[in-house]
Amino acid sequence: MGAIIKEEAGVLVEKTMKFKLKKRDELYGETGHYWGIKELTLKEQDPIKYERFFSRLQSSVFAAREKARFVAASPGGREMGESLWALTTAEGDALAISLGFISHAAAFPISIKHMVDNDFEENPGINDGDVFGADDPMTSGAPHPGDTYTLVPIVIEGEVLAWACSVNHIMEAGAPQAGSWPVFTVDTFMDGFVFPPMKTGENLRQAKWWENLWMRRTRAGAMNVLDDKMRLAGCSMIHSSLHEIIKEFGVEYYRQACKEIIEESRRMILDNMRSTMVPGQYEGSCFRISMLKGQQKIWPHADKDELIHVHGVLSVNEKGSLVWDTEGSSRWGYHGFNGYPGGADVALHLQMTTTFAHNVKATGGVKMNVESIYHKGSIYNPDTEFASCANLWAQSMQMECVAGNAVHLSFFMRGYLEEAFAVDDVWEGIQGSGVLADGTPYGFTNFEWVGGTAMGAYSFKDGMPTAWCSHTQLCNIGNSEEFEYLIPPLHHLGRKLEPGYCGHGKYRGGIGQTAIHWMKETGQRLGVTRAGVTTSLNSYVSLGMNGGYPAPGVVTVTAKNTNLDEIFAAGGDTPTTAGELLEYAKEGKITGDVKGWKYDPPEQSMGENDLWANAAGGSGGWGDPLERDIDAVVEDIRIGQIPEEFAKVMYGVVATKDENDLVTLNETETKAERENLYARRRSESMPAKQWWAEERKKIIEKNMRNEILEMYRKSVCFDGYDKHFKEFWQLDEDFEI
Amino acid sequence: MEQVNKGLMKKLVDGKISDDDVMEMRRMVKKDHKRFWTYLEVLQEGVSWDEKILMRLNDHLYIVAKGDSERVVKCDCGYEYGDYRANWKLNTDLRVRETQEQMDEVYFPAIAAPEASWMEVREYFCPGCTAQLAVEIVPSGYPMIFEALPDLDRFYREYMSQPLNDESTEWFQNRTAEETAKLKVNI
Amino acid sequence: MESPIDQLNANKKYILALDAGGTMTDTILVMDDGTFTVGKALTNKQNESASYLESVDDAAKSVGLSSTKVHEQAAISIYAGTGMLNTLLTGTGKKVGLLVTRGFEDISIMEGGLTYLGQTQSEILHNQLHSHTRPIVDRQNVYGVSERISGGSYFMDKHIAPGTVLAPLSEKHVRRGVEKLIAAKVEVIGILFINSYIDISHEHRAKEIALEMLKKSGVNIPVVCSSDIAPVSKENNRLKSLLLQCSAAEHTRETISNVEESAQADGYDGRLLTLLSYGGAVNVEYPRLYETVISGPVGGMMAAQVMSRKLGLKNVCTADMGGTSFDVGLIVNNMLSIRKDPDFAGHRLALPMVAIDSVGSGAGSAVWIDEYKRLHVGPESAGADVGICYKYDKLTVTDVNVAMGYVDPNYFLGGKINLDAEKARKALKETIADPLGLDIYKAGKGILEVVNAQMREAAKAIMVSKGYNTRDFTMMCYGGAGPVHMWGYTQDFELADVITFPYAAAFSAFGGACAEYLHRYHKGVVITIPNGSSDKERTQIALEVDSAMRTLEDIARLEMQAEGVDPEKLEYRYGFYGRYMGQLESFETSIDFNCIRTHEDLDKIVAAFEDMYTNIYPEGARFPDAGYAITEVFVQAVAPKAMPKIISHKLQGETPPDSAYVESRQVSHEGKFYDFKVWQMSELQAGNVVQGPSIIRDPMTTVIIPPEKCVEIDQYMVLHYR
Repeated sequence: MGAIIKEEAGVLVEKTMKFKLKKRDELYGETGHYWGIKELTLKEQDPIKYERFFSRLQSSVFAAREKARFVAASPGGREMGESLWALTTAEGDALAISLGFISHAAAFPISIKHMVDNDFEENPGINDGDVFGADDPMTSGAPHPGDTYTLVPIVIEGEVLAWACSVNHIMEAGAPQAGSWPVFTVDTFMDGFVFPPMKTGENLRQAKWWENLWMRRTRAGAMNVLDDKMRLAGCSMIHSSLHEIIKEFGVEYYRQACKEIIEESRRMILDNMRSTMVPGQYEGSCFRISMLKGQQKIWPHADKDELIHVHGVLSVNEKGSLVWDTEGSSRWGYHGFNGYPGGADVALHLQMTTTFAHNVKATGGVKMNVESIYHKGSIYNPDTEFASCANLWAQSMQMECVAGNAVHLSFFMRGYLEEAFAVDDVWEGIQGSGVLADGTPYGFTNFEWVGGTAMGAYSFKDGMPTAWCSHTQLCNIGNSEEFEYLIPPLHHLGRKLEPGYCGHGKYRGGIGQTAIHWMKETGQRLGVTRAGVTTSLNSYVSLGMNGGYPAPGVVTVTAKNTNLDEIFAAGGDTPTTAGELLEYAKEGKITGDVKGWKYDPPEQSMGENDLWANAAGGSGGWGDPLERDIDAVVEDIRIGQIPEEFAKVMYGVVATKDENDLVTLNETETKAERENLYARRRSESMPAKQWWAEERKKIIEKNMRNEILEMYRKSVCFDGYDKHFKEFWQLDEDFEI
Repeated sequence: MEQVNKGLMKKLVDGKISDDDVMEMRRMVKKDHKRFWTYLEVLQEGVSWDEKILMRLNDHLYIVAKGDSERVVKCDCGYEYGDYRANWKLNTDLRVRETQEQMDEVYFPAIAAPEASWMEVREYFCPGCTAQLAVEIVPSGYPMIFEALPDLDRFYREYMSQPLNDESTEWFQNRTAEETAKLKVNI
Repeated sequence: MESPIDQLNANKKYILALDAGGTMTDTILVMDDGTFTVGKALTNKQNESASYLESVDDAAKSVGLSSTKVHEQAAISIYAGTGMLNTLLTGTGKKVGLLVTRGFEDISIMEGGLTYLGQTQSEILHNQLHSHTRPIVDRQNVYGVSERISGGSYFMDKHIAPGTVLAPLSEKHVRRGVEKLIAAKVEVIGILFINSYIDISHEHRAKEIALEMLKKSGVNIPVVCSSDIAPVSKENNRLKSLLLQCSAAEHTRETISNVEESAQADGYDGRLLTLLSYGGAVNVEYPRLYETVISGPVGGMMAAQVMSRKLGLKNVCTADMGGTSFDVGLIVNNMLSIRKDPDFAGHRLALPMVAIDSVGSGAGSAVWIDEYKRLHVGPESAGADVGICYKYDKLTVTDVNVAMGYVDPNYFLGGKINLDAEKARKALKETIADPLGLDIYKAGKGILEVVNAQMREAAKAIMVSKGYNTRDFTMMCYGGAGPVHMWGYTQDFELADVITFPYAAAFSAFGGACAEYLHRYHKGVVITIPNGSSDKERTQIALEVDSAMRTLEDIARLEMQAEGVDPEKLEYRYGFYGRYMGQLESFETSIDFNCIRTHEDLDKIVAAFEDMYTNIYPEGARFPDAGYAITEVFVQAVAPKAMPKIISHKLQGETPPDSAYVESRQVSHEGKFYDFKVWQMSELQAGNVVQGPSIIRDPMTTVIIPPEKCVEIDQYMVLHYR
């Protein structure tokens, strides 16, 4: 190093975070190794000490989670995996992460870089045990303001050596639209309680004003304060463990070992990619429809329906690591579905971390192996600082699953079928606010279908219901008795599987879940909305796996002024699923205003005996449905997971269930029906080349609904996609859609 | 488990494998590098024709070496889709579900089916055996999705260290546009 | 019916404790002088009575008696088995039919998600490994019943009161369901309604109807309500307890009754007891028999509880190092600490269970390095094959101990088995030392460091995470390998004392005989203590808590009387689960008073909660402004029962008798070779002090005493490591 300049704080330049960040990037750029580390010297010299050191770091974050999560107010934070504790280097690169919301490790470096770029080291200063908080997507890497960060620096002799970090999804984010994922937003000023990284406490204690801020600016203040205490409690534990560890191993060892750990992890993850992938290019896409026309009249620029396009190409670069290029994804818009690169990476890294880092040290090494390209001006990298990110999660989860399916197709091509399933995570949350009879106001989010969804089909096996959750490994849908305790007027009239609700195929996806929330004593008012991934206007991803159908989008059904009390009095049958609710209404088994929603309903004001039902969490199928084993279809009918009539249409299986629930298969009719379905395929299809010519004509004549044309316009404004589009349809250079 | 043997591989491919065996495969400390060759063996024995399978693309489709200068996509039924560098979907039979009635047939409950006024359901069939090879749910006018263009030469040379004899820089190129260009001429 | 109390009569000589494992049924026969012998027999799954008698007879023989002679003189016999676990794992339990609140019919398939239970951290990160546990009930035998009762809410009296009927019970649905279940020929019917832990009336009415119908159709099968067996919140956990009780417990009750009959036929005149997962013993009349599902790890804890009373220890951390795992547990103020929703065999149960944390490294754990030169210990284990030095094909922790010289290859199990030290050294060199470029003893030292550190961290964690100070705890080391590693996992660990026993290897089995006759009763409640409530309101709340406690006492009295206990002789322990308003987790808080009638009493309750909470969490995590909620109260009722004597010996001099000295042996310890003196346990006397470097050998275990350390033997022949 050159001349050493003393700073006023008495800290050597080499020890400032500013210097470290710069140096880290230079060295990585020059060498392709983290901090230019070519040799893992400490590991080579004493591998056992090295592993012991790492396991100490690792257990400090595991222990923090196991202890701190019990302080929580939100089921999400406590056990549903909607929380994370991590230890990062001074630069914010993850060294060790707990279970839970793992991919938020991608966000910590962004908060920290923001603090450094804004000279936080001088003002307000970064001292041992200070408490910082953030949830602003642009400056902190948060996907949306509902995800709230706490960061505590570990400082020795003026040098920041590490950060204890935590995040969890809070109950209520304080936006005009109550809940924690507002949908009806225009810009960041409607996203709720949004704050860039800031110092909120000292000596491992939050300032009182901070508590007051939560109480004043959100609708579930007490719960949010408890979640805040939970995050800090865990960070305090990590903070003290790390001081112990550094005392035991020494600062020098610590500094060097951290670099080696991340470099080692980078290499192992790369090795995992090379030993499971087939190099090449994999294309995928998905859509999210934002129906705001007529609902944003006071903001004319936001008062429209939009078809949001997410396009991605996954490729393997010369090193063997991955490049995810989202070119063609829509320009950002005046809606809540935008995000900034940090938040987009938090989504993308979900698949990448669990897929490629489950058997190695899961650290910042993930990021070095996944280059994500978010084009300026796009929905993942708006060329404005004011874009709303209130509900990025409602499409970025689809985006990361598109990438996941590309990876799994590659596994399938290479023969690792046991790892390759149809990836989707059709999550759903309901949220709202109300005022009890006595005037007590409250806000809420119900996380149940955020905690778990069905798993997609493999090329050799059906998917399982409520089996996984792509955004946390801890699949857990909580308990009805717990949610009813938290959200007074909502009671489960049903909480089960929605028969037939999945992507079908030779192997079907896992059946999705359904809930019917029944309103009792709604007091002065109760308003409910939904927040979740795509609605059933379209499928979860565009592309099914190998001839299977992709997972369906989320369905919402509302019922008002029902005759439930009469039904109960008669000891009669109440509907138990969203699908059943519609069926009952059709058959007159339940009366009232029953409405099925294929799009995000505006806030519904709910009263006594009103119902809010949803179906979510179904997953994608794999392969040709007509190749499905007939006995498997019969078993599905027996346990009530596939309705008879649908089995005939989809699988060509003719079977009947009697009142004792015994199922009989009609083999001759089944044979005939399958032949009939094959015959229909032949008669109802045309050569794809002929179709190409007809479809091309539609484009040239712009013969499609305006929102679709608008979608193409917002995609072809990116050169690469413009080329892709024009080449496929053989359009003239000057053609404008 | 350190290496998946051929018998087990066949069971896996045929969907006749036990859950315990699958769990063991998933628990392998390191994936068995040789698996790819076993996979190809099993697949080759599963088809009636002789062209050498270079890569599996799909439940039914393979990239095969044809003669010593061609690499084409072939269905297990024997139907050929031409050069693998162009999207094979251009050579399928295609059914497009455009009306709500048609869409409601493939999802349950019906309200879960995509909305016909926004989306269409594309089902790609093999002209040879009518197998459903792919499903796309996209808006009208959306280019066919080119699911996978593997870099075969790089895979065989760098990953498997058994280079193919007809290696060329030409092989890793998207030739879909050339195909559609031909189509345009015929309009 | 014999009462356990009567079994205290002095003329009875023996205590029998049996542990029926999957393969072996072990008997511990405790003499009236506190000494004991072991008996073994192959478990006969078709006829456990047979293996019971065989095993008792085997133990009897070793003291020149017959099983009949022993039974005639037995004060008590305790029989714990893995029967229920096997039933669960093999799905061979009773065919269950289920009535649930309408709309929850798929609850047993969804099981709340939880597809990752029982997996290691890295397995959990691997999504493809996630999988549901096989359902205990066939989905086709689950029927919905329209009904709804409110569980109350966070907003308490501002909204619907707990127990309010929101929808009446549809008797029509109950009848329809029961009809179908009878037609389906189920062998037991379970009933689970939402919030039934708050109000049992709907479940009980449904049960009445079911029983009527069964009677009419001449079917004689049990009907079980979730509110009777696990009256606590969280329907998914309550369901698992219900299903376990339905499918496995009744089956187990029959087995134990049969064993009891044959014991009595063989001359035993008492009741056969079995062990509870939360410690303690009960007889076969006990209604919630599913609570005996896991008793394996509990034995050691109960022995530790008895020993700690004898030695006057308040706080104990138990450390049980066996072949496959290292288990740590806590005894605080002489009470076993409890976990309320343990994960077990892929199910999350609503079941109080002794809280034990395990790390997957034991003496038999395989030691290996991966391609990245990372050292791993376990999870694979050699079990009875010991290691490469015996029958196993991989290096194990025992191999390392043999290679280093800690364990004598010629005295394993008292010389019954000869170990090949050369093979162990060779394997250590080739599989670990060479690849890591270390010399063999440095590698061995490193491996032991890793193993010992893992165990030390686990022991620290269980104390620190509860907010305790390790200096207040005595560590009890047992399990076959405990004394071998005691020196290692207690290194640089501030503890009050470290102790072990000559019979460390049989400590857990011995524990069975030490079980208290005890029941635990708990009830979910919805009681809040709003911030700034008036004295009048607080007194009202106090009375609510009090009446809940009294209710549980009444149930205890009735139940235990039915089991033949004299209610007058019962002793009670009290506690509750509390939280700040808004929190979801409730924290166990024991109280040393049982009368809560005034607002001052309530303040004592709150103070007890605050003490417990601030023990665990930093000041910053307190939130008194939010007010408090009490979600559950519990009472433990303990009846007197025959206990093994722990006799006191006359203290001899510090110097061990010459007869105790065996030889001296070279051991590589902490990177240096030392001459370790070897002593014979059986020859050592109370009062002796053995200075390190030494090894105390015994057919059952080996005690390592490094240089600078020593072991003092007290009058109970307990070894204190200093």
